[in-house]
Order: sequence, then structure tokens, then C-alpha cells
Amino acid sequence: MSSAGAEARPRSPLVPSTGQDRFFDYCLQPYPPRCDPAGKLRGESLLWNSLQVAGLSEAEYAAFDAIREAAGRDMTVFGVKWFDGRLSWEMYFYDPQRDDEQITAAALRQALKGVLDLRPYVPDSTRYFMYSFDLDAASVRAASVPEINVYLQFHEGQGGHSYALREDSCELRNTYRFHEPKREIDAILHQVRRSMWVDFSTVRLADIVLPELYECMKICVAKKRYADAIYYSGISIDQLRWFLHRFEYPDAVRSFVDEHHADFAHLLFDVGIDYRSGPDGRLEYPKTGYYSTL
Amino acid sequence: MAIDLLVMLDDDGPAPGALRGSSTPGPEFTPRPFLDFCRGVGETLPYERLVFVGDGEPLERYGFSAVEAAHEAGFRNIRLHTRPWRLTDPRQAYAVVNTGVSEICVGLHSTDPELHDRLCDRPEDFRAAQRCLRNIAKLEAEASVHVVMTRANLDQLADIARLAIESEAQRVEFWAHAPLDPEPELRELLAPLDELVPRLLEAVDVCEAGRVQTAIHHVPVCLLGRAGALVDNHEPHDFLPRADSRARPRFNCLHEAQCDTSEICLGLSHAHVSRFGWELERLRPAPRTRPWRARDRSVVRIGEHGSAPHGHAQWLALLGPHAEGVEGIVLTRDEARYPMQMPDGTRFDLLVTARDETSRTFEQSRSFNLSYTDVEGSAGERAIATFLEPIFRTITANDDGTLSLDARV
Repeated sequence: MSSAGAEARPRSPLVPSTGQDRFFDYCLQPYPPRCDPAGKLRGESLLWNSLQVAGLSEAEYAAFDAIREAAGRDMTVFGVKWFDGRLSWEMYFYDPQRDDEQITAAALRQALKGVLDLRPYVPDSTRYFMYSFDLDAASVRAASVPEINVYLQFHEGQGGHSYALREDSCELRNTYRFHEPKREIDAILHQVRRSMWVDFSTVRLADIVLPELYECMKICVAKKRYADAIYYSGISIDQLRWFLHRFEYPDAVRSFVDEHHADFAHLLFDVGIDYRSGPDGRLEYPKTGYYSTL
Repeated sequence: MAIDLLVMLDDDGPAPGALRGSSTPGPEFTPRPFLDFCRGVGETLPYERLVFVGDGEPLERYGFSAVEAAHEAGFRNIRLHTRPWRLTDPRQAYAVVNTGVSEICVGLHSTDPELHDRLCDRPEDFRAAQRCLRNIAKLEAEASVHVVMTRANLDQLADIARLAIESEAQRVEFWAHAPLDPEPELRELLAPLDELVPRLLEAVDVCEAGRVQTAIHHVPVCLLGRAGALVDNHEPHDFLPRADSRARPRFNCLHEAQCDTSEICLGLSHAHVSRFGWELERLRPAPRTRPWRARDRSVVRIGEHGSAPHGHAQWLALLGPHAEGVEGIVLTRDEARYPMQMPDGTRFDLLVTARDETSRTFEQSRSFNLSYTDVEGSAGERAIATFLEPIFRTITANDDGTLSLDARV
């Protein structure tokens, strides 16, 4: 306990890597680090930076600490979302085989009690393979999560449907499918080009299948309620820097990543981009996000 | 193996394929690491050619000593990329060649002095290039010309080739303009493929008739017909890797996995795709005749080839000296897998899971069940057990209980 009047040292967003780190993409699929992680930073540093930039106080980090304690180190995927000029977060939990009974949605709800109230109850009998929930500064301060996203997997191929579950409602939100970018480019283009949200007579494919991100491990194409989306997983830190600049993230996020980019060279990252034709026919990107693990 | 080792002495000299020097500063060249590299190369040279690039004060300070060291190390194919004004004095050109430079490459981007100088952003560069080429022609060195193909000089490509031949260049390299991201003025110079390709093929014919070596860089092979054989997209290794991979143009093609030439063709520059799109209707992939493999995306640095798997230090340490024999680690929520290969070629994964008295396993250490799975090959159980016995013994000795698969510990 600090004595009265003593200044607490501010918590640094820079979390060093350790010899025990595990390396997962945003589907919790393992990957080998791209170079020696010794002396570099853990991906969670991006989360702490974003919380700082969003103006959360360190006391408000408690929800994130509690999530990590409950799920285990490296076992939570976080997404930092940039939407309407505000940063927010989504936390994802994977355990398709139910190997860890402490990480079911019901168990996590119990574990977070007193720190974060996950309002909807998802019974273990629901055969989801992952779930997630959104947090923003307001919900962190209220310590309350009104909605949980539940993901049901396709029989074949990597992909599925997501449902938004509230205490009194449940609705389909998203259908998505993953592909290898190069081997399965025809399938990717097929899905991208079939859209209710994009007018391809005025929109160019190259503004969706972005050359700067195409060199990646997986591409996921999603159909959402109010937009389509494309996700690039397994991108390098240099590609992430390009993404943060291209989609005009806050200066303090961009400069943090620019300054420390060499410290993230061992990691792969994932990004997502919602897109649709705007009123003037040009493509607009209402929401984007970047991902790593906590 | 990369053919070339690129040694950027400074950022003032235009790198191969660039009109101008780099606008983003790269790592500073200091002579000691390069001299150490030269002393350590041994009899088998790790690169066919060294390519020095520079035009600034570091070139003046270190250029001669670096070339001398490379020559003493046994390199005989040493190219210098610089601006021509450096070699307009015949005595200077002689000194450079006498030190060991075997090839000098300068840009020639127009037959019109004004346009050339504007593209290079350097007054009098065109006249200097002509004087420089005349000087090299009198020396025991090869003169090379690199031509960056832009919207502004497409109509002159054949004439540029003729001028290069008249200037006694022995090699002409045509590079598709591939500007880096934030330079709108240079982006405006990007040329559409349907205009570029026919003019390039005309220029190639001129070179062929003039019996000069010709190379094409960064133009899709599928559009070039028999001139596709001239495409050279070998990426050099950087002696001083840039911290930011975006400092060099990047290329892709959506047909990569389906095209038989994808091992030699890079596709389109990202700048081109951003300006003109992916050109799906224009590109004509040749159906593949062999399996396609994705490129390795690990961060490659000089001297790191063949090194042990990256990361997971404590999990590698568990295997002690046997860690050198594993091909990597796949560490998930509940297991560590170490892919291995026996001397007879049999492959399997050594599997480490949390110690569990109730599950069937091969061996146990303090914290773990030890077993193997996913065998591919001819070795039988007994042979595998014999191979694994010392590895299991090492793991058991090293497992002091501090390493855990439980991520909450």
C-alpha cells in the first residue's frame, strides 16, 4: 500500500516479452514468432496504449486485469476499435473444444462478478465455439456489459454466424468466412463482389482488397447488418503501421506504434475494416479495428 | 539464396529502380561491420554480386575502402550505383574501377535533357550521365544504364535504348516506376500497363538488335511474351536492413497462387494497384504446373539463416541440446508440440501436455506427460522410442516444476 502523499508510478503500457509467451492470432491459432522475441514487447502493450489514449484512468484498467486473470495470459484476444472518432474494445474468448471449463461464458461471468457485470447469461449447453463482448469508456466505468456476441461455427471451412445476445433479445449480426488469401482468392473475390452494401459500378476492388494488407495469413469476408467487412490476419508490424495511418487512428496510437515498431517485429497482428458505399457513391469505412492478445 | 547483397552507403544515391534518392533515411553505414563481413566470408562467397549505392558524404568517405575490402575478400562482381556527376572526371572514373568496381550503373530516363533532369530532380544530370558513360567505356568495367519507365518517358523508351547503346552501355535495365507511399508527385508518373508494355517491347527489340544485355524489372511476366524471359525480380539482401520494410516498394498479384510464373514475377507495385486497380482483366496467369508454396514471411537478417526456431525460450530450454533438432514449437492452451525428424526421415510431433495420472502416456516428467503423435514415415515404435529416450531423459532432468501449460500460473 502506498503511503499518503506518495506519488504512484504510472503504469507503463510497455510490457516486455517473456520466454513463456504464446503467440496467437485473433482466432487463437498459434503462429511462430517472426524473429527472436527477447527484449521485445508483448502485444498487450497495444491495448494499454489504447486505454491511455482513450483517457481511461489506471483504476479503470481493473476490468482488463480481471479478464486476463480469469482467462489466463495470452488467452484473450482483444480488438481496439476506431468508430465515430472514438476508441473502444472487444474482448474475445475461444475454446471450441471446451478444454478449459473456466473460460465458458457462464464461468467467466461468474469470475468477473464484482468487477464487470456480464448481464446476459449464455448457458454452457449452447454450442458456441467463441464469444466476445464490447467495452467502451462508458461501459468500463459502469462496470456493466449489456450484450454478448455468441459465435456458431460452420460445419465445413473456417467461419460462422454471430448473434448479439442481450438479456431480453437475440439477433443475428454477422456471417463470415475465412480464406487463405492467395490459394483461395477466387472465393474471396466472389464474396466481396456479392454485396448489398457496395455499388461496384463506382467502387474499386483495390479499395477493399488492399494491396498493402494482402500479404497476410488469412482473409475473412463478413456480411453484417449495415456494412460488409474484410479482415486481414497475420500482418506484420509495418503493415499495422500502414493501417493505422491509412485509417487515421489518433496520433497517440500511431506515434506509439511508430516509436516502438522494432519492439513488435516478432509479432503478427490482425485488422478488420467495415466498408460500404456512401451517399456519394464512394467507399466509406465506418469502423476499423486492430487485434492482438492479452 | 539472394544473388545480390545491397550495401547502402547513403540515401542520396538512387537505389536500383528509383529515380531519386530515398526520402526516408535508412540506417547509417559505418565501415567496421562491413569490413568484418568481408574478412569473414571465407572461400565460398555468400553472394554473387555486391551492389554499392551512394552519392553522399559516406560514399566519399568509405566507398573506396569498402570496395577494396570486398575485392580482397574475393568479390569480383562489384556494382556501383551512383549519380553520374561523380564520374564525369576520367581520373575519378579510373580510380573507382581500379579499386575493384566491375560495373557502374547510372540512370538514363529520357533523351530530352530537361525531362531527364526533372525526373531525377537534378539539374545537369543528363549531360553528366553522357560524360560518365563515355568515361566508363574507356575502362575495364561494364557500363549499365537503368531506365525508370514512367508516364512521362514511355514514348522515348526505344530512343533511350538507342542512346544507351550509342553511349556504349553494355547493359540496359528497364524498371517499372514503383514509387513509395507518400509521394503524390511521383505517383502521378505511374504508367498504365496497356501503354507501357508495347513501348517496352519496342525498346527491348532495340536492345536486342544492339546486342546489349537487357533486364526488365517489376513488369508482370504474363504481359511480355518472349521478353518475359528477361524479367529479373531477384530481391537483394540488405547489408543494413531497414527497420521499416515499407522503405522498399512492395508488389503483389491476385493470381499469384494460380500462375506458373509467380516464382519469378512479383506482380504489380502497390502504388500501381492503388492507382489502376488489380488489373484482373488484363493479367493472364499461366496455369500452374507444380504446387505453389507461400513465401516465408519471417524477418530475415544477414547471418540468421538456419538458426534455431524463434521464441518460446523456456520451452526450448526444456529440451536442452535436443532443441537444436526441433523444427519449431507450437504452443497452445494445453500442449506444446515440437515437430521432429529422425535420421531416416520419419517425422512426428513430440507432445508435452500437463501431467495427468489418468491419461495414457509414454513418459512423465515432474509437470508433464510426454508422448508423440502424428508419425509420418517408416520408423516403428521401437525405433522412435530409442530416438526419444535421451530427449525424454533430458526433459525429465530439466523439468523443475516451474514451467506450466496453465496460462493462469
